[in-house]
Amino acid sequence: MRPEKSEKKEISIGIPGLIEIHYKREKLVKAVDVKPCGMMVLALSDGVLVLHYDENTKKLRYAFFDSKGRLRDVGETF
Amino acid sequence: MSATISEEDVKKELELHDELDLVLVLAIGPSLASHLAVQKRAILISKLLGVDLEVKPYRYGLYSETITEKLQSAKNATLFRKRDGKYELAPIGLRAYYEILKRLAVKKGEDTSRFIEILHHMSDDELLALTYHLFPESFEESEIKDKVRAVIEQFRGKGIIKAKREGEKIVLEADA
Repeated sequence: MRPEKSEKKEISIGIPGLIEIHYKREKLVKAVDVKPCGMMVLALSDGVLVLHYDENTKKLRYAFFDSKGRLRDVGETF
Repeated sequence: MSATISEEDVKKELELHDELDLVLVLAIGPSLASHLAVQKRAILISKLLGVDLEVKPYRYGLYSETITEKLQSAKNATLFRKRDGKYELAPIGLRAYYEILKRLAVKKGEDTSRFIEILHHMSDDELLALTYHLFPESFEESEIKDKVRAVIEQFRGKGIIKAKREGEKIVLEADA
């Protein structure tokens, strides 16, 4: 059985240090800077991950939508 | 009519507009769009692209007076128009939509253009959930906050994305 391919991306967001995103995907993604209070998106194989870092609360909020635009997961770091 | 619009026509038209007009073209997209959907999509796209846009909490979450003014501006009638209380792209606006997506894919990567395409598949409830979740100030004046919160809670912590802090680092694991 072929092991699942896992890739790791480090993205600088300035003030709080690093966001590391580990995901399964067949091809590499270009790095995108997330500015403080900025938003970024990452296309994954099954949909899109939306991230927003709020500098005031120091929280990273995320939402994952599948390719048909259906919401699948939301959360935040504390 | 759209068959008579050349690539040069589209490029010339795009030069006549500011970046927020182009955000609105992306926000309206290929199908008839409600005012609420255009507002939410435009706020998300402008945040993503770093386009300045003043927003404030209002009855249905974050709202931009500038977006409403631009949607009604005669200057933008070549790009989009109102029909049956909703907004649609004019033929040259639709060509501009695909041209802007193509440019974004080159300039910002496929992730951005894919996100914008997925935005157009989202229901109003999902658009509201996304904007309220990412920008919690949306709840402040909202008349529909309980409804939106219920949608968000329904999908919270489903396990597709796992987030944790490791010191100063935030680690996200995506099972997708």
